[in-house]
Amino acid sequence: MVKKHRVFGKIFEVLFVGSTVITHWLVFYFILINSFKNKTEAARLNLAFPTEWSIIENYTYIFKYSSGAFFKAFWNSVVLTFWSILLLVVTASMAAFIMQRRKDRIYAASDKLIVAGLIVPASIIPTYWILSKLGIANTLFGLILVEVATLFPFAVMMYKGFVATIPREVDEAAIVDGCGSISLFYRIIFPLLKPITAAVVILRSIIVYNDFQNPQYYMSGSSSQTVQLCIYGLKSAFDTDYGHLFAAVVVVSMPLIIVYLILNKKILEGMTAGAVKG
Amino acid sequence: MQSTRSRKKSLAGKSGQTGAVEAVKGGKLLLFCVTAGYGTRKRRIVLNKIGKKTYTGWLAAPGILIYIIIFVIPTFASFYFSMTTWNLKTSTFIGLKNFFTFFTMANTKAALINTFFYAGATCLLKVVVGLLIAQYLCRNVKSAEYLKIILFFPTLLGNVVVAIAFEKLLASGGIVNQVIALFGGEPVKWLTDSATALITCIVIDVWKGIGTAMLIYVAGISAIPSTYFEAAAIDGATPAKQFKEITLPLLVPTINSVLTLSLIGGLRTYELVYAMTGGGPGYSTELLGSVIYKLFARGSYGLATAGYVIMFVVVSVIVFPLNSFVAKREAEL
Repeated sequence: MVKKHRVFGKIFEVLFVGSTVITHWLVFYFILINSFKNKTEAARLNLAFPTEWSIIENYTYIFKYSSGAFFKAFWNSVVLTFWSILLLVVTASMAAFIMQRRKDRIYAASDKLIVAGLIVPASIIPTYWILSKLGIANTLFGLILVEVATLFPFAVMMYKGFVATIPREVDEAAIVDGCGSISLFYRIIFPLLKPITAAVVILRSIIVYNDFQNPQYYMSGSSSQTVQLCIYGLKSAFDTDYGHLFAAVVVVSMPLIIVYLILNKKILEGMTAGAVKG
Repeated sequence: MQSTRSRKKSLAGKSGQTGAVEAVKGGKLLLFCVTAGYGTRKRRIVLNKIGKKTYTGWLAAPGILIYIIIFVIPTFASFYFSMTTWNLKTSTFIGLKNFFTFFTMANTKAALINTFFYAGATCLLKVVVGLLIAQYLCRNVKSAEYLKIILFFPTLLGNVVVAIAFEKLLASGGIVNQVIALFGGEPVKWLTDSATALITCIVIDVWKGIGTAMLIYVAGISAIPSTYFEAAAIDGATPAKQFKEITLPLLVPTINSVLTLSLIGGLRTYELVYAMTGGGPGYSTELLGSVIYKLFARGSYGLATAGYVIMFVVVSVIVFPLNSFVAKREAEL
């Protein structure tokens, strides 16, 4: 009886693993193999090996395309992701620390605002209006602030949950030893928050790098694009030129995939570190 | 109010053990207060000042300021601008006219129905299928690590990338239809037939998002002490019974997280669908988000903001009560 059960279990496992070949590997293979083909062969949209490999031609074409627009967009996305995440980590961790430690009315109110911010959608056009009042509409800096503001509530909630586990005695001991509030935070508290910082960096980098909605709204009137916008543009520009289109798709996805292949254990852990409490 | 009091009390209570702290920071006055046996009220005031100095608002200010200026103020401003005609420079108040216009637009009704269906279906699939997969992966399966890595993989891909890949895979001459033709079937217009387009989008969305749900569940299940299952197994409970009697009840908070996250996501999102179909064919894959974006692109800012306010109301009306309902159930458990 037990043996029979085990055999069924094995068969199910094999089927499950096997089905990922079709549902996942084939999709990735389809993208990759078609990025190696020339225009006529790619237009057939099949899984066959190319008879004529045009790897180098396709990939260099992407980077040269419209005098390096793709490359520029790529760089913009990296800058956007880096600064948004840095600013998010710094501001959210500090705010969470203070908000967890102090319970005055102002902080209770901002707490409510932040919880609400987890749920309600971001209002986009009035935000654009405020950015233009501040003179930073259609700039990368404006977009960075938007990303920080949208991701702020979730990051604060994650940090707050963790700060609550750090006893106040730690703060008091640091103060006795002569720490001011800033050195208390940066020398004592922030290092303790490392697991959450890792989780925020991992989770939110994926979201910011892949963000399409915010750049679409905030940067469409701008000369500098992000890579997701750029590839959306290429989708219609290379309407029949799938070889080049898929080469662009591969290049866009590469940074996160490389990081994932190296750090997959850390990333899977980081994904769940804050999510359960959330 | 109560929490303020209890915090003061706890600080005051600790002053006995960590008297040195206050002595250093509060100066001689405090030491004097304590030794001379001054009233506790005065002591509390001094201690409160120390707390305020240590936990200075300046640290919280940058984040909260960015959040208020870029998120909170625009949200409130949108209620006003939804009642105006607006070109970003000047706005004229026209009352509720935008809302009437919005609801009489040809694609609004379809968009609302589609949004509810899309959000409901993706949410349900992620909650249920994600749980089943996670439960399976937590049962000492050899290939669990591999399955986790591969199922999470699509989450790394951008919406546009996924859209391009599936558009080509499912195109009328694409590989999927080539395989169907090989078996002698009729080619299916996955994304270009109004009967199948939305369902295809839902499946692709779940394909992309199931990894996150699965990982949250795996973390939730691993947090349940294994002794519970061992005890149940000794008492003769079958795995199915263990799942129903132990895993499910203890997993309610986790299920709630997945449910809320995917429901909010489903109600707001439009990028993936928009990048694949642009809302068509007809209005069959039009979502609330894509209607708003199209109004924005057209320059009808007041009307688009009215659309946003409707989305705000829809999300709030569904998610806030759901959240507090589940929180109540959690408290009962």
